[in-house]
Amino acid sequence: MRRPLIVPLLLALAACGCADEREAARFGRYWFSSETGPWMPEADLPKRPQQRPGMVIWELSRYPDAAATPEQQQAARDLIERCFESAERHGWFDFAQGERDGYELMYADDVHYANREFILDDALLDPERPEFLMYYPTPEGRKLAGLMFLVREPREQGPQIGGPLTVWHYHVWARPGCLMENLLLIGKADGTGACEAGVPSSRTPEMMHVWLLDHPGGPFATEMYLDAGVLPRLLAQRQAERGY
Amino acid sequence: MRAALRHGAATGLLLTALAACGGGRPVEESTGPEPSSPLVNGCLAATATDARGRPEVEIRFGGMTAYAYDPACVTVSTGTRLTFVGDFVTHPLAPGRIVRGMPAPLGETPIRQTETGERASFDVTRPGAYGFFCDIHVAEGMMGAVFVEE
Repeated sequence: MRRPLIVPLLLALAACGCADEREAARFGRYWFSSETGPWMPEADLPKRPQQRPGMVIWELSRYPDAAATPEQQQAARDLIERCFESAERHGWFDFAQGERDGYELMYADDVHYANREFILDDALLDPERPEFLMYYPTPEGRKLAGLMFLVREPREQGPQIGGPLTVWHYHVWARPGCLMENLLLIGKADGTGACEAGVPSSRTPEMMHVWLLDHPGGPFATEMYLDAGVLPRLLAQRQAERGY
Repeated sequence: MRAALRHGAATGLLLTALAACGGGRPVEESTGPEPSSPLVNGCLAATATDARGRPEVEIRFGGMTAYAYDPACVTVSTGTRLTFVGDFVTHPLAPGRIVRGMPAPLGETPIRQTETGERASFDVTRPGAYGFFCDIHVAEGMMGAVFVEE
């Protein structure tokens, strides 16, 4: 059942002055941690899955190579701060609380914990109802590194409330995954492309990270890899600055 | 070393810095490793973990080493048994080199594609540089190389 929780989104869109951004053309680029490609019109992105590797990532933006306006920068800062506040208020910096609130490790993943209720609701980019929490394993247990938001429908376009700062991305699998409601990965398709559960799809919906630490790639970085030598420092820095 | 190669241009950007460059982390200059390059999947033999002379070397991945191999870059001797330990469903192992963000044509390699189980061993018998990567998370930089010496 979907809940009508689009008010936060509408307020954010109004605040950043980008309510008409749905009209703007989008661009995409092949994202690879050290070999990111050039922006190209979204219409020119590959229509079929690649043969190799098993998964690739495409970033999307209506503002390729543009500078963020002061309003967009403020909207981005507000979003980050609302994510911090929500995570603290809900107790999600405690991994056990995240689990109690319904977050479960996604299929074939190390760090993405999905909340099925929030994935199926009607909220979009709502820090009160993030579709995913990202807990990284450390010697001291799992630590919350950030939130990940998912759009509501398989082909919905993510709202860039922070303009060029808030870049969304999606994944394309060479071999289809099986998606619950065409949204959440719950398995792999068999050799015939069929799924025991869920819907076979080669493409994920759009998603965006909001990092709750000083991610080397920035607060909305697509990059998931956090060096094991860097993560403890970032967590300690957050502890010193914010107390959690 | 691998981290330094991968993140050499990432300098802890603040939001303002992001705003200035239009978003996203700064793109490193393409290293453009060709098959003949000494750089294999972000690894250099000169700085790889030295495991020469060991009969067996384990490379762990996933779990506590999310999106990474440990060690990612390793030098071994011929005759070594290389054993990958982790969840191959989450991180399917693929042999080969990544060139400009895509797998290069596969040459001779002792490493085999592995998509199930939690342990896979390969005997390395010929000197050379053999790349490997996670077929799912390679975009995150989950890749490495084994350098085999006589």
